[in-house]
Amino acid sequence: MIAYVIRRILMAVPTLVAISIIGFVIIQLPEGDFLDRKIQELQEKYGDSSSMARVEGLRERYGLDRPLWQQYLTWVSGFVQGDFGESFDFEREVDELIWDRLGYTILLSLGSMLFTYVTAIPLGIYSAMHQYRWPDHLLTLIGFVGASIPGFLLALALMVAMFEGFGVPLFGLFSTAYEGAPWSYGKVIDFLNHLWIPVIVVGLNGAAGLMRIMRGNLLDVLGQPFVQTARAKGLKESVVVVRHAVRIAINPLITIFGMSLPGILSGSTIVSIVLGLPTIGPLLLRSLLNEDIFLAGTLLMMFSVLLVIGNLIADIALAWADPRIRYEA
Amino acid sequence: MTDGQKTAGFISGFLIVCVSACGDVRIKDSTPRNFPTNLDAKEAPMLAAAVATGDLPPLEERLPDRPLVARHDYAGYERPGSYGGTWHAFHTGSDLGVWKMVGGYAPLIRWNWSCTGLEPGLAESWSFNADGTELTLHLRRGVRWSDGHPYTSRSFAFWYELCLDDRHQYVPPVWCLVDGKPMTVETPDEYTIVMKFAGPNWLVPLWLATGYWWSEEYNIPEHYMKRYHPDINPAYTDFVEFQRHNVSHQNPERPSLWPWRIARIEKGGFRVFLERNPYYFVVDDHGRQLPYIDRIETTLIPEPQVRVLKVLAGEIDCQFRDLDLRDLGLLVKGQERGDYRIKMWKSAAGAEPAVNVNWDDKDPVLRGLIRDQRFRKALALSVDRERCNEIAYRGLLQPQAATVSREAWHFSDPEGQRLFAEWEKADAGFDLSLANRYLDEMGLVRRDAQGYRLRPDGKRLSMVLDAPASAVALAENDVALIIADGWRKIGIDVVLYTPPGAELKLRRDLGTFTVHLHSEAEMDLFTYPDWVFPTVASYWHPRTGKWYQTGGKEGEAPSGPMIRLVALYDAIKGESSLEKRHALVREAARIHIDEGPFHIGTVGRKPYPVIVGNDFHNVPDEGILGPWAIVAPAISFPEQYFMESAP
Repeated sequence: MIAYVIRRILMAVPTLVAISIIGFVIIQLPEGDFLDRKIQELQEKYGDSSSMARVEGLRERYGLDRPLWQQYLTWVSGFVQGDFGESFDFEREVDELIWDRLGYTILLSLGSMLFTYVTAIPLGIYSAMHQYRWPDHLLTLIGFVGASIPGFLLALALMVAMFEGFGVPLFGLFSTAYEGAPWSYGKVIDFLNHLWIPVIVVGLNGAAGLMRIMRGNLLDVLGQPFVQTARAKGLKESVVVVRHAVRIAINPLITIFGMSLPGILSGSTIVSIVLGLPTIGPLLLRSLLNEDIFLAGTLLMMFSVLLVIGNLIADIALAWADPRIRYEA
Repeated sequence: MTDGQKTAGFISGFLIVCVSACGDVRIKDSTPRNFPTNLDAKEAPMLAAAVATGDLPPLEERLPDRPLVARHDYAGYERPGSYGGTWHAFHTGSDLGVWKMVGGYAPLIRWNWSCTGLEPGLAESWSFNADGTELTLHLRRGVRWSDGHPYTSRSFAFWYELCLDDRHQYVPPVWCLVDGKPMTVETPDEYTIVMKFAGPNWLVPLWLATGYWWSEEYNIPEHYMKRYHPDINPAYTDFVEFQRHNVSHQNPERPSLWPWRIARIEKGGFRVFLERNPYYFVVDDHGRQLPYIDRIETTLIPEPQVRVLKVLAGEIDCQFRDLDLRDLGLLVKGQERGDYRIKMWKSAAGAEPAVNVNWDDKDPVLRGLIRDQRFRKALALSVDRERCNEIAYRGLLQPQAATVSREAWHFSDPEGQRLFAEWEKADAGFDLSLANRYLDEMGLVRRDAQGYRLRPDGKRLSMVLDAPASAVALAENDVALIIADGWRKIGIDVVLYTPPGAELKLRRDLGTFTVHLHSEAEMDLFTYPDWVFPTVASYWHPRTGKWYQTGGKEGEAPSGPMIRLVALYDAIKGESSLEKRHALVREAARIHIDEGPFHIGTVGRKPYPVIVGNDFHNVPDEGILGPWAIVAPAISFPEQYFMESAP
């Protein structure tokens, strides 16, 4: 088991190196660089040549005139030492920009994951146990509706409804009064008040899907002979389901859990854009559009690291939960 | 309780929690909205308190001998204000550009509010010698930086010494050079700056006043910055730290001449807090020190829809730029709930966008066609401007030829307005049969199987139209589709090209495009002449402009009407009389009317919604936000806006 884990970790290193090279090259593939983009944006916005009078002088400062491989080596050697470079767009150290957002992103995603599993598993079980009766039909309906409404649409609808109905503007993770204020009891409450909407919006799709999967799996398992045996032994139905059937039926969900780990960073992107949340997703999108190479590169690397770790955890968890899996290559 | 009841109970419980939680999602900003009437006070209470405790010298010692008195000759000015309040706004880029257009303008010489000329700023007066080779500026005595240190002529001299030093990024700006030779700067005393040029340089006062970006460069606090100068502080061997500390929007410690100095920048630059500059040198009619408003809080909001929401929620006190005309309906509808009103300013743009047809096209056959006036007229006459207006701008703009701003001071008298009206209408109709006739007259009568005309060399007459993708600029993309539609109707094949990233800009600069779109708004052609005169590598004259810019080393020599346009701009630079300079611009406009169009119009004169909170006062009812060179609204002295709820 331990050898298996170590082997998996070692394999991750070349993967990450390859990702960093490919990512760095692809970010820079479009013709022109950040400053060209910047000038173009100013022109499109303000239609006046005077606004970008001095932008060109920055090219040298950021080293954009050097060959690509030199820029890459500078960035990578800094990256491993924890120096992620400077964001052109924000004129700040990347380091300064990402950690807060990373924190909010992980909180939001963990929250919505928790929401997903806490609602999906019990409802899936419940649905399966009442197959073809009205609670099952109702949950099936809700499940299909939930799975087919895109998160951003739901976010938009909620925003309009809340604003038209209650005059409550739903955006950001803080009220204006608490934005930028130091952490306090009031700020935490304010934060939680803002957090639940995105948590539900982001989690709803997944919850609906997972509920259907859980229901289907459990129905499969409930028909198998060992469940019949358990029932024949005279066990209570709840014990049969929870102890015997659910343990097997939940296996695919663990795989899915592992695969959804990178989604912790990227899953909420569109909803974050719609709701104006200070998470990583909108930052990555903006950095890619602007060819803000060091910021985009850093974020891509973080996503990749998380993906690799996620797969690793999923494999380990599955190996632990399912004795049929072997460790040999 | 059965399992079913348990689950149902859980769900309903959860919903109750959610619904009750959203009840107080919005925690109202706690800033007081009722200010004491303090019209007798000569300075803000927060400063008076600091004076009382001895932390700040008294007002007389902080103000210059003759403070600048803010003008308010505009509709929308109500009365002298009371001190206090926090102005909430947003910005869209880390460079704080949108804010600097409001509160970052402290030049030696200012543009006046009506944009008809210049008025004193840090300099009380200025004068040229007879041949325009020497400009003398007399500075206001007793102006101080925000840390109390005197502002003197050394500031300008120190900046110019930096420019002449080639160890770093600072270079002499274009207006310091005459025939490639940099000016010299002398400071006979603390309050006099003398600039000497190699030849007549009449336009310098305009450059000193234009934009926030030049004054930001030449107003440099030597007493603070010199500690980072490697010649003065041996701890530094290069200019890296110097350059870093000299960026006004990143360094709150750098003393400022703005009405509000930056007090704090939140991590990542997502929020910037500004606070009144206790040494600000401008006062109102009654000698009361400005600004009226105590503090500014501006938030970085890159996402356009979040900006709209902030406004609708009443979280913005006053906002001048970066709201889209498309959201106007929503903004109007939200006025009551958001407790704000909308003042309609204007972009004063002559084209949104202008269609730039490359005078210097690389393809010799196309170039031959484009340089034929009949061809360009045909292109102009087949643009359905009404449709552009209805589809892209909901009918809010004006169909017209491509021009600079109607409010530009070159056209301010009745004769100028008549000329301008003629320019606006030149070839701005929609007449496909006349367009077809022009093309037939040129001999482009043969057509291929698809009905497209053939060029003289037998190939299909086809043009590539560069346009931004709809995700980048929806209205411009719509306009591009309508233009392409019209040109196809007169037998010209159009290929729309919408590349991602920076390629559009590269194609513009290198001159490898055939047609590209670009919004046109310009108030002063003396300093930014390139919409009318081919003097810079841009717009419709990328290679001719390059030739002028590089003194004939690169690009292509002017041809046809370009020769006269370039000569006219040279004449403007050497002309001492303002009246004659304006006349030369009009002569150039006449060439555009008679021998143009060189760039083709669509629609212009876009309204610009300005958000003004109901407790926010003294904001002009109307103004121009398109061209940045005139720095509106800063030229209205926003330091005399104030906040006060109705009694």
